[in-house]
Amino acid sequence: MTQYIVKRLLFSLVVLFVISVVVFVAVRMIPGDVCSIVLATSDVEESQCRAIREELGLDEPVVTQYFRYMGNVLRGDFGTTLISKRDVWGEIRTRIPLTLELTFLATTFAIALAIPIGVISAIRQDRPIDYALRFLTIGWLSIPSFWLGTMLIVFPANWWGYSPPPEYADIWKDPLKNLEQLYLPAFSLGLALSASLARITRSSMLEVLRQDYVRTAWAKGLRERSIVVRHALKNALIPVVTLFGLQVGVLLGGTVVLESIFSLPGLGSLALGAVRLKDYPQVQGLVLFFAAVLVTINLVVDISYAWLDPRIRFA
Amino acid sequence: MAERTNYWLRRRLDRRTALRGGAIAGAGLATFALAGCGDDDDGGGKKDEDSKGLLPTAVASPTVAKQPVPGGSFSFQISSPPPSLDPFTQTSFINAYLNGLSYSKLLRFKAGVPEVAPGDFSMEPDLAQKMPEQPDDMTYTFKLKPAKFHNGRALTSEDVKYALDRYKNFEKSVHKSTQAWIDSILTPDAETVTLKTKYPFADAVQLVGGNLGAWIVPKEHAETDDAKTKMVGSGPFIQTEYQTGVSLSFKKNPDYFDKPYPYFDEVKVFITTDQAKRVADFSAKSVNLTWLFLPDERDQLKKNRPDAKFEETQGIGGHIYMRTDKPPFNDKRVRQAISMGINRKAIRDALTKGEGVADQAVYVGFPIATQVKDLGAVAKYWDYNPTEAKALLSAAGQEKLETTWDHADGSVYTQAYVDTATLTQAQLKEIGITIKDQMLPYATYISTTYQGKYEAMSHTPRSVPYHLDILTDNFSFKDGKRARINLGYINDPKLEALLDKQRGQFKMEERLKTLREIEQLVGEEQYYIYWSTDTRTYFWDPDIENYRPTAFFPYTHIMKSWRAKA
Repeated sequence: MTQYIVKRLLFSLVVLFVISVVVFVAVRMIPGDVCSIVLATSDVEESQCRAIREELGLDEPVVTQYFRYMGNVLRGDFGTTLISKRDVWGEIRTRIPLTLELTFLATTFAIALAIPIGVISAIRQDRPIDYALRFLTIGWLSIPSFWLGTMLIVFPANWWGYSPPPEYADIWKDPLKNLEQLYLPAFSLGLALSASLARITRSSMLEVLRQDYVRTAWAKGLRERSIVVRHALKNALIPVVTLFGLQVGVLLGGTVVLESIFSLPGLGSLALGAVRLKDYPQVQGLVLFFAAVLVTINLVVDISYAWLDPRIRFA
Repeated sequence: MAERTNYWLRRRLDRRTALRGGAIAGAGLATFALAGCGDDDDGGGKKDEDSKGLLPTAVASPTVAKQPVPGGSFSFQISSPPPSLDPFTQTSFINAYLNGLSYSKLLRFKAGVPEVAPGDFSMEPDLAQKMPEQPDDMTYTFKLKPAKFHNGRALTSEDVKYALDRYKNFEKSVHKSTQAWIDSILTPDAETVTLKTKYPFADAVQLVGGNLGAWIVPKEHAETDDAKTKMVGSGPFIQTEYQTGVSLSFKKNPDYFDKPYPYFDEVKVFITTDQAKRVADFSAKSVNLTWLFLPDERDQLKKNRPDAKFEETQGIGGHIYMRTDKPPFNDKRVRQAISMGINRKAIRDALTKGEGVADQAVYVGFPIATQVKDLGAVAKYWDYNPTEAKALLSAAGQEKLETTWDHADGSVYTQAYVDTATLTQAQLKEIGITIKDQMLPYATYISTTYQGKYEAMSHTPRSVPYHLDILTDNFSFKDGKRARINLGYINDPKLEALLDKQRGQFKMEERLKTLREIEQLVGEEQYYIYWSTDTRTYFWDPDIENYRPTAFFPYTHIMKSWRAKA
């Protein structure tokens, strides 16, 4: 098991290195001159540009820039934002709690909806309720979260003059207001996830319900609730956990648009603003951070499989 | 409704009058606002049908003397985050909104109160005790009011000199060309500032009080990185918080030099990038003021908030710019053909319910703006005439012209900006011009195309005017260098001479003659191809008193508003 973990860890580090190179180079390949972004005018003199490039270290070879940047990152210094000169990591750190909360709420919502739907659909296979739930989940799967989010802003405002409060409230200071701000984006974000989780739960449950040990449980005269919850669901959840791990990346991607739509000060809106202003130190820092989060989640998922199913670690 | 008047043509305006600023205010009042204010009394913003499609006509809100009620808070939305709050390195109008809350200038716009029209760019004293004395054509003397910066230090003439000098000479300043007219800044004593100009410059007063290169920032703050995220000025509101990309908070400056302002205790600015969210927040009464809505959103907001006051103002529209320094756009017949191949009415109908000013020449929204129909023979280039357009292209040997069109996405300029290009390209295909559309992310567009790095065609919203010499920025090409926003690489000696001439003409009737010549020349050459403008609507809470929108000017005037019940 230790050998397996070390191998996965080393592989994750390689992935992170490749991502850092790709991001570093890609950001510099976007057309446009950094000095005209910093100065925000077409009336730019060469001497101004030279001063800015020197200040940002852009007058040096890209390889030198990369190693200096990564050296600083490893010491916890992600640099400063291009225009406002704020600490990149400081900006990211202050935004993490909201995105984490939004992702957590969306996940909770998705799981709370998906598991019962998947289970009911499986144990009532090919009955009207199964068809209805499958129809519903396919529908949810086809609704993009940004569209749903926009509709959830537009219609309550038009019908009831309702909109979540515009001023962000910290969860520790005003939890109710905080939840009022987050429940609509969490719903938008979680719905599509709940649909895919519900469908995988259903198919996984169907497979497990046909296993011999479940048939034995029925033969023993156990109650349906006990068979479904204690014997079948537990085993059916393994692929669900897999899918969930993979979907975290999608969730994080979804926050970029939804935080912007709902004016929430999270990592997503920070990323969108940075891309819009071509603030490449901020973009680099954010992409590296997102990459590190995703690689870590995948690592945890991989290790948990190996722990749950020994066949994987020996494969 | 008042008749459309051309105040400038009727009034003989001398330099002194211009300095007092009253004349422009009158002109703006008489000619700019598209429609009057709406409120719950009149059912909302009735618009004179006769005015549709014409230059905006005047309706100022009736001024009712009311007792100001100090206290309370006020909130409004802006549509995108400011790249930086440092006025020395930014030209964004978003910056101007915010800088105006915390910084002061020698002079400020009068607009923002009911008796002054939104586009009226006349000035009133800000830090100056009164409008400047002008002993000769090249000298302006300002006497300062006693004022303090938010850090407690007294503001002196040396601070004014420092700031103006920094706008002109600081290596990273983006206002060097804007303030190039300043020759020297003298400070004979702590409360006197004398500006000497390099040449007689009729717009000096406008630039001293304008959006760009005029805010007085103390040295001890201007030279720190903090200036990018924090404003420490002498303005009516003290910045207390800035959540990047989310909101800014301000509190009343108790030591503000211009008492009894400000009335509000607190001001909150929300950065709400999503248009639907802006509509929703105002519908839910979560913000007190919101603006820049096109007709569809305006009508929705009127339904959602029938109690709100509102005012429609003329949008600034946009124009196509081309590489006029190389083929095929160095041939004016091609440019004329493009203009005649555009069905402006169809675009207006598609995007703005047919609203807006149909045809625009070089000035948009100015009190002195000439309507295209009054341009005489050259007015025909604004007519939709595909047959004539094809003939012009044929004469230029460009029957089947293939070209490219670079432009930004709609993230900052709105989707209407993108749609205008799409519709125009479809129309131009009908006259034989095939265009490859190349949409760029906003930041890329600003740092490439908008810097003049483009192949053939592009388009931009028009710059916000507050001085007549904005034409120089658009058209001048001197010593091998394009002026700030001469995006078309226009290099016309005859036009250059006219630009030089108008710049030093203090008598408005003389200057107008020169400007009319410029309008004719630019109309004939079609250096830029102008679309119609749209309308933009501002909404605010019914209990906000003494407020009126401005045309993109700084939000200093919020200090003059109050709530009926604080």
